[in-house]
Amino acid sequence: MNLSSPPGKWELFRGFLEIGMTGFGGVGTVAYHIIVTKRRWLSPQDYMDLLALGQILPGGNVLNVSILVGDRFAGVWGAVIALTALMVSPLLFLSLGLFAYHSFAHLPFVQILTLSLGTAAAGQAMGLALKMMRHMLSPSYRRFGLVGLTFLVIAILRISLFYALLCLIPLSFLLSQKWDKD
Amino acid sequence: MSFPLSHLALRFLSLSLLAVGGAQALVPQIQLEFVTQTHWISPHEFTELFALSQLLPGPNLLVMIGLIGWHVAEAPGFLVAILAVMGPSSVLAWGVGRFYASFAHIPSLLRLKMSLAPVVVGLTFSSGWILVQTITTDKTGWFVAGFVALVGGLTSLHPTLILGMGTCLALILFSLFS
Repeated sequence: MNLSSPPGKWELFRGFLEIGMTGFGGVGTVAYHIIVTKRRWLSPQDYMDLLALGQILPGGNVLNVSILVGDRFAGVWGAVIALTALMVSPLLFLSLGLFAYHSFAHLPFVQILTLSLGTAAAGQAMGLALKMMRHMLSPSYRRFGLVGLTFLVIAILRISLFYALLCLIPLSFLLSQKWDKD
Repeated sequence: MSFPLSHLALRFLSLSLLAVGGAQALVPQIQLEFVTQTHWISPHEFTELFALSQLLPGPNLLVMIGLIGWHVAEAPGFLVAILAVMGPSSVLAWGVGRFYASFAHIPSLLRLKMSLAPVVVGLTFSSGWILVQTITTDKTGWFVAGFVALVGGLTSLHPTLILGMGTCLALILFSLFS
């Protein structure tokens, strides 16, 4: 596949503006479409590399990708521009949404709609976890134990995230090292 | 309610680097700090903020964090919360990106990602679980959430379609049973 010429700051701005503008229900898939398929800045392999890095690093995955892509093509300012462009339209929509919501929030129908949407979206987060479980963990079912432990510690025992991660990350890392050797 | 911005900034600065696998990892901790422990946000308001963040395009959970900031300290709170939660992780991403570029295609990257995967999956599931627990008080809510989770987890339908179906199902059931 032919890559386009490396994008400048203005093209980075436009590309990430588009990602932020069209990414209803999560920006992950749109980001791939625009960076790889439409604008051809990166090969699929390179994109997957940067995405893997963005996923390992703490923080929003696509936000991290915007920083990595921006910096790769146009240095620090490229990173700042890509990140800003990604956030501009969500924040604009947000102010409009807040305005509309506060005008209608008192209506009973809006109340029940909010409750319904919230419940469905919460279910979707659990569905995403199930999907990840199917795709990422299938080679080794022993990893399910770690998923369960994380759930127990965070959602049932409600241990503070900092202390939970302090134990869970090294444990997960060591166990998978051991399992890889087996 | 007067609310010192520095307080808000500190809370989100300290959460920034804990967002393992994405901002959804922070949901249980945010619920714990803002709803259960301090009561700055009521469960009902938490539900509203989450639902609103799901309706808008863009990085949803970051939007939700911004909304939490807005809720406790209006527009300045909104900016402070978003900048604080993005700051440390963004600087880290930039720094590691630089380092990584000079060692391109380190094979261990994939292994590192795989070894963190169980924790990321567990955090994502916990985040959905805590949300359902905060939003709903009865079996109907759990039924809808479970249904959406199964459809989302086992099929490859478009996420927006599933969200729409789940919302309609919830609307019908909530109207009938409550």
